[in-house]
Amino acid sequence: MKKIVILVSALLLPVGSMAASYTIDPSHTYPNFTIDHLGFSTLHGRFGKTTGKLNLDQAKGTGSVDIVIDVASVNTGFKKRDDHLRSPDFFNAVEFPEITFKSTKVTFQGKGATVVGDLTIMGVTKSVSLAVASINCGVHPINKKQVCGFDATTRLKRSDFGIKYALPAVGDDVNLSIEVEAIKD
Amino acid sequence: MQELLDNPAIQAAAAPFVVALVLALVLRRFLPGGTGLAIIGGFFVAVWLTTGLTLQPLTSTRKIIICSLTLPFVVLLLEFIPAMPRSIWLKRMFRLLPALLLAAAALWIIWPVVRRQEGMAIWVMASPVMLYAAVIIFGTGALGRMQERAFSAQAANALVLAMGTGVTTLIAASALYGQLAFAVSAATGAVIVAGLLGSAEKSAGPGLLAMYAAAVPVALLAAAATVYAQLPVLVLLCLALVPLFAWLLLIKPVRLIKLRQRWLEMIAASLWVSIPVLPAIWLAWRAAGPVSF
Repeated sequence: MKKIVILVSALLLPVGSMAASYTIDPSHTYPNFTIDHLGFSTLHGRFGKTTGKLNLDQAKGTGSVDIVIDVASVNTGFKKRDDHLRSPDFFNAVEFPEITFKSTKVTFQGKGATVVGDLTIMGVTKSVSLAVASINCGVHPINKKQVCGFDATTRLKRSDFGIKYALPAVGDDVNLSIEVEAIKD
Repeated sequence: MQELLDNPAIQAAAAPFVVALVLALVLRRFLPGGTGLAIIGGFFVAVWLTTGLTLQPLTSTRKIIICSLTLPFVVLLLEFIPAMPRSIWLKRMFRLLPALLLAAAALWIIWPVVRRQEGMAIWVMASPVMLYAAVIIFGTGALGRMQERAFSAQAANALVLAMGTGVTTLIAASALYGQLAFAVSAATGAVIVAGLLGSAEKSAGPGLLAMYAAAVPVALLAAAATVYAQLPVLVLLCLALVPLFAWLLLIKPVRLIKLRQRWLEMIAASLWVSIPVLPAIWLAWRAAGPVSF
């Protein structure tokens, strides 16, 4: 009986109150971007391979995020355009195979957070701020592992990272949103 | 005005052409190597308009730009070394120095990728790139040192090599590489126009510095495009034949094209030298597949 009470108590405790390390689940973590295409429409794309680690301690109000994006995994639904995005005109994926984000400060606000960190694209590092509306943690209903997830969004200028091809015809402003799920280590 | 400067046709054609033409017409009065400086000036303007003049971080494209703006002078200086030793063998060895320098520059440009390779893969990746850069500079140097009736052959070599690189890289590799190569061809075209307009001796070529100023950037752009983009290596093989076709115009038993009017000879020479570029374009086209924007 005592064991059951302890188990139930543990399950009922808010998971955010425990400091924990998480590994990003690549099958549920996708950086997505949108960009203006010649003023006609908005192009959507995503990166298919992302790895990284999270550390969360909502009770203490601390945390960290490290994300590594495989540039070659860019996918806009059209191979020819994806090849162009991998070329030196845009991401130069052969020379710079990774985009990285390393948080420098995480500020929790209610269920959400603001994550400030260094985003490195094509060897250029800039500080960006990701807005996280809600950090959702709990037990995964299928694999029964502890999982945390969130959607982070920001807007950046590609020219800040030296990606100047076809400016201003193809937009400079890039809306970036990252859907993240991470499994507790 | 900014809208005008953002136009790729202005960046890669009009601006470098106008700048190079003005420089060529002005500098040739004072400076023997003025045409070379005109091509470098035209290329510099294109770089300023397309990528900006920032050098950090030192990407492969920026390495190409640095090499393009500096190595023609270094290579020209190396040209004087073979005059020093008495031994013919040594003289011939020193003739290879510009080619070795360009091979080293090409390796520096692709080094971030080469260092991630292992074993034979290093040589499979690096050797065609280094060899192509070396062959183009060696061929250009050999052609540039020929003085007699060399104008059309030398000019056609520089112009066709730049245009061929521009077309093939635009199709199969990178619009930026294509723009930079087209800028070289526009600047080279301006120097040719200045040469044809001038009262220079019929035999006078565009000059060694001009030859190298055109050859260095396009050699490095095409070579790098096989590593950083999807330009087929076979394209390099075709483009490497351009200096050979230009040289064939000059050897005495052949003397394929010899016309009274210089501008006609220039056009005929360019058409002849373009022959190896046609399969290069076809290969690039085949590799690229249907293009859509």
